[in-house]
This record gives sequence, structure tokens and C-alpha cells, in this order.
Amino acid sequence: MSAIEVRLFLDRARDFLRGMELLEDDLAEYRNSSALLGIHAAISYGDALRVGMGNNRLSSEDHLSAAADLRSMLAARKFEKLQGADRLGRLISQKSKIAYAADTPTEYAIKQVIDQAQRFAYWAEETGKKLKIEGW
Amino acid sequence: MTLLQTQQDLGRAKNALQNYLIKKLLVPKVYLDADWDGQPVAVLAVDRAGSGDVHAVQLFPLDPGIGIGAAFVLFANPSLQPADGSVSPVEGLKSLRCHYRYIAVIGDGPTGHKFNPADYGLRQWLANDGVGRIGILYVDLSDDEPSVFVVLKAERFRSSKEIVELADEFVAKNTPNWQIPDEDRI
Repeated sequence: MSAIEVRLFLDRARDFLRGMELLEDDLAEYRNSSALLGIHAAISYGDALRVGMGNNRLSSEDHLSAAADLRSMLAARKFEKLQGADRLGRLISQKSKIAYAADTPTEYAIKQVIDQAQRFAYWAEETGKKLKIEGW
Repeated sequence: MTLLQTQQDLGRAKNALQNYLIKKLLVPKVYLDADWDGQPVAVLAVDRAGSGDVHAVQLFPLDPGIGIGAAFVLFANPSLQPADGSVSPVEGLKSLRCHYRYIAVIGDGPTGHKFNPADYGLRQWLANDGVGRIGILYVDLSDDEPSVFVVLKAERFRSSKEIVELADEFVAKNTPNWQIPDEDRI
């Protein structure tokens, strides 16, 4: 079951990331959408890693704890590159601001989110492979 | 055209193809002039941070003033051989062990040519078992910024344990020309 769930989260993450990259080509029109898809891609990548490492109780209501949970699961496996978990936390903290805040984020801020999402995706892809997560 | 100019054109084409693969793939690692499975490959990309499918691009530069249509006629002709007697680019790609394979035709103007695969012997682009088709890209170097066009979409070749192992070993041993910056270097 875990491998199937990993695959579901992973497919979703890659889907969101592709969407982000597609919209990134026209940031004048789709800046918030692109950034939000990047954040959701990161959340889904994080979920894929957590499910793959044995967490069967993911909560869609509590994304903020996802980064801490990911970090502690990786640390328990003595995985050294934990920076990705911190990056996930920073990305998730941007989610409400981009989705709901009254002011419009600058293009620079949006590009920062996109950049961070790409780096997190890269880290997650490497990490999933290194940990030999079933379904990755 | 001098040797230097030819080298510069090939380099610009490789850069353009690298950008094409970066956009097409998800956080790939891209290598230029790679030594892959004992064969030189102009542009090689390993998808998903080096853990996914392997894409290989070989170059086919056209002589100045020769249209892409002429290149396809040549491709369709089994007697096509480079002047040095080496293996034809299509045959070379067929024996290359990787998931996606492309010929990039490099020209100095817009294609100006509607490609109809049926006119040029579509089957020669296919794997013998039909699983996989070599893709054809066209790199137009005539503009200030080179452009890459998909002429014939590539189809995925059969994967194997050997390809996965080759990729793991290659990624471990080689430094990519492009990748998303690593966490530790931020």
C-alpha cells in the first residue's frame, strides 16, 4: 500500500512542478499560480517521502508540522542532508501569503519561491532515490 | 566557415539543446560532450536529479545553405554515411543504451519545410521491436537566440537494469554542466 501511496504523492508533486514551470514562462499573468503550484509540489514531495518512510497519518490540515516531521524521520534514519526539510518549512510558510494576502507579492519574491521549489524538488528526487523508497 | 566558427556553432547548438532539455524535463542533470556507454554523446540529460530516464542527443550539422528537407532525404537513404566512414547518426543512436534518443539537425535558417514522416521512411526511426522512436529536433542558429523545434517527437525506448546501472555510475562519476544548485552550496 505504501508504494502505491508514494506513487500517488510523487505523481502529484511532479504534476504540480510541471505546472509551475509552465506558468513560470508568463509570470506577468500567472505569478501567484506558479508560486502556489511550486509550494504544493514541495508539499506533495514531502508527503511522498514521509509516506515512504512509514508515516501513515498525513494530515492535509497541518502542513506546517510536515517539515518537522520530515526532518525527524530523516534524522532517525541518520540521513545527513536535512536542509531540504528546512526548505520545505520555509516554502510552506509562504503558502498563505501567496494564496490569501491582500498585497501582491513582488516578482522577485515569486521568483524566490519558484527557485526554492525547484531546489526542494531536486533534493527530494535525490533523497527518495538514495533512501530507496518503495514506489519512487 | 573556419574550424573555430564551426566549433562555436556546435557549442551554441549544445547550449540551446541543454536549455530545451531543462525545460522539458524535471530538475535534470545535463552533461555536454559526455562519454556514455563508451560512445561520445553531444548532450546527455538524466531526468529527476539524476535518478530518472536518460536522454541522449547527437548533432547533425547541415552545410550552410542546405535545407532541413535535404537532411531528411539523406536520413531516409540507407547509404547515408558520414564522409569519415563512421556509423550513420541514426544507426549509432539505435545502438545507444538509453531511454530517449534524438538527432538534432543544426541549420542556419528556419526549417521552411513541413515534415511528413511518411515521406522519409518513418520505420527507420523506430526501434526494431517498435518500443521507442528516435526524435528529430531542429536547431535554428540564424537568430540572435538559437531556437529548438521538435520535428518528430521521441518515444521512450525499453528500459533495462543495465541502463539504470549505467546512469547511476555515470551520475556518480561525472560533474554535470547544469543542475539545480545543490542544497549545500546555497
